[in-house]
Amino acid sequence: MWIAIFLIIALCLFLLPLVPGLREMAHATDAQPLQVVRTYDTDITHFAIKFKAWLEKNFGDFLATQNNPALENAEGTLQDKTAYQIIGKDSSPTFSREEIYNTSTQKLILSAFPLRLTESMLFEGEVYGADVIHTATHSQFRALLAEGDIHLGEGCTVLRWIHSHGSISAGVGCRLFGRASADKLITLSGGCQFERLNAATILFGKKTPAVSQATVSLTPLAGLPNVKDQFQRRWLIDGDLEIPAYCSFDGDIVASHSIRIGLGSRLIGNLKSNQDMVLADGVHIDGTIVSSGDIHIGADCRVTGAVISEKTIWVCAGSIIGTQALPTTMTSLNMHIACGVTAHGTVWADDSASVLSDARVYA
Amino acid sequence: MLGLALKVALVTIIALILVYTVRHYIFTLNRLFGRQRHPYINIDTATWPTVTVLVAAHNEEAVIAHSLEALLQVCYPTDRLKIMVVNDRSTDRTREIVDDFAAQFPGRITPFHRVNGIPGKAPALKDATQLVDSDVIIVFDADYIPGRGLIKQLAAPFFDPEVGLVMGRVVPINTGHNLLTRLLDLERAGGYQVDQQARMNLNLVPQYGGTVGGVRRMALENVGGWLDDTLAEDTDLTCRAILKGWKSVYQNRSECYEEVPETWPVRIRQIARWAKGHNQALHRYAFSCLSNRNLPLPEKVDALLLLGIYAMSPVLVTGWVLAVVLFYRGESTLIAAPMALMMIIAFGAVGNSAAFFEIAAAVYLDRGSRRIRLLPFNFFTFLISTVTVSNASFAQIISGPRASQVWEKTPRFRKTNFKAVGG
Repeated sequence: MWIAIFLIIALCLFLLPLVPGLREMAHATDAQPLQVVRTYDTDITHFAIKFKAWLEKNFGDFLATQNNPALENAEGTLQDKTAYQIIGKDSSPTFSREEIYNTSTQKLILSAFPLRLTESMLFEGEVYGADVIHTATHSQFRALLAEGDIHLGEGCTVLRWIHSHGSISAGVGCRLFGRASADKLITLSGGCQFERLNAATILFGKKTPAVSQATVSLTPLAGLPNVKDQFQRRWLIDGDLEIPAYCSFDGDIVASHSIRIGLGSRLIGNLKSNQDMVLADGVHIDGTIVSSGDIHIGADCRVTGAVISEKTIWVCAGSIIGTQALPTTMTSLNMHIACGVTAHGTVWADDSASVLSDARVYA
Repeated sequence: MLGLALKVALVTIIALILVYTVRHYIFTLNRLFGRQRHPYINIDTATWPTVTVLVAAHNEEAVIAHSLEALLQVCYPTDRLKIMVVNDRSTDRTREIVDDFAAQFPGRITPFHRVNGIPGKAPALKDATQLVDSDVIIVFDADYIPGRGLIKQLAAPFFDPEVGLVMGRVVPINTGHNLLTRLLDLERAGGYQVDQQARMNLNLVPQYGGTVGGVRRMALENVGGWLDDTLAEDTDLTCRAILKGWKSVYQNRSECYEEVPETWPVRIRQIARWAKGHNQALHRYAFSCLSNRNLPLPEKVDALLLLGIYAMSPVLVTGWVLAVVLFYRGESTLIAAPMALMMIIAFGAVGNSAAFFEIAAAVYLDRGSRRIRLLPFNFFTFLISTVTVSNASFAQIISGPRASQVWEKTPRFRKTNFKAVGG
């Protein structure tokens, strides 16, 4: 008897942890494969394209007749309860008393003409302009899409994404969270903060005049110090590596510690440092630079390939990342970029990035 | 004297299990609370390297078309991407299907019909690689279904001149088929979401897994290419690459669907093959890893533990036998505590691809809440794996490490048309 009770209790104790599993097996509630978004193709304009498709579905008539100068202001609500306002020619969005009191509107704003938006307002719905969009100062936007240029006034904030089929200019102190992309040009003034930018050309502050490079003859380096291993064009370096000023080298370099490239030197190849990497002024790298630590890029440097840091990137004025013909990516956790820097392609900081008014930036 | 020897052996085994337990706890805690490294995932604009995708195929009529359709839709410059189907002596309609695709997409799909030579994936890849002139080789098995951004994500790390191997995450697509597939889904999640990503975070040795992964051609040449006498070309290549100063990296967000075994006999054959391949690599490279001066100590330790993971099953079984023997020799008071400890922690330490707490952490990270209910059932797969791996390992010891190994393909189960999940 006691043995039977003992066995039953033992069996119950053994089966107890299996009960939720047995229930899950009998009535599967979480048996779907993990969701892999197969259509996501890393395109920065992903949301802009999806939004435009949504507009075409819900505002097909507006998009078809948007060139009609007789188009007048109109308001309405979609079936999904999205409130919208269509803005006519030479007009601006109108707000209810409550919206003015709250300095916030949830309406989707659509305009077929050049659009001017009021200051210090929170636009919780998307803003679409078939032409240019000008925003006043200190407004906040969920998202903006324009077929023309977008000019963000001083101190404006974009919370999710902004895309222009022309150019974007952001005034002093703007904050661009999420994605900011333009087909042609993005210009960010000093004090701007951003996360992810993409355009054919990205100017940080005003473009500085090109520095005429002194014609100093470069000393070609036949080899490197502390070589651990070498295969084809790849050199493995044990410890720190310092390339002297005005030298040239052709090959990929991987250093187990830091890399410092001297003034005016030129390297053709890809560099990797497992600690910080420092490029002195006027360095040219025809290739990618990768660092497990910080990357400091001095003034008037050129890097044609990607710039990848696992910590912070500092770039001084006059430096150019990528080329118009060969755009590239600059990415890190944090970024401090001086006014006068130009990038072509993508600039992406996971945590934070800022445009500093000074020509030189220091760690 | 014999008693002392048995005790020393048992204590050594318990110490080894403890090492693996600590390792897996470090990985799990790192994934939950540590800094996560994804240094290459943001690269979306670049002059992309030339890539050849090798699709390893042997009697794949059920799945090859789905894989090729997905590969043709990937977002990668078409002038820099070639797809080469490595058809290794298929006897079904694979050749016909591949040739149809090649005719429809000339220049984009190149069939490589292999009719002789050593059978198996590694020899087939070795032959195909001789025809490749691209910077990067990405390998998929024929049942894998890549998303549009996957090739870019797998190619991006190769901008780093230190990177020789890249591995993406494998996600089972036939999860809901039966208990086995659901348990394998949990196990894969633990292995990739926690184990591989933690090794990436800690700058250790993420393992190149042979599929959904890429190899730099220069690195492949540097290490002597694919070896055709290996059962686990992925582990073998990982070891040879790190010994030559190349890094392997893992991209957790580069996910790709695969089909997991739906029957126990297939699963048992699969894991036995993995075990033999891993043990083969352990035999070949353990000493080289230990004696390599260029390999940093943390990578050295991780590589050894990675190589030894399948050897732990026979070690564990040996430990259980030793404990029982010592018990009957009257050593119960000394042995009882370590034996109980070993029984408890062994499951957590050497569940073949992922310990149970790694699985729990992975489910939490994947935000899959209710599938965690099946976690206790993983104890049964642990027991089956332990027996299977031990059996395979003991057989390997008896036949000797140099005995010829027979590569055995995992059968496919897909019968219906593939339907993409999540778009």
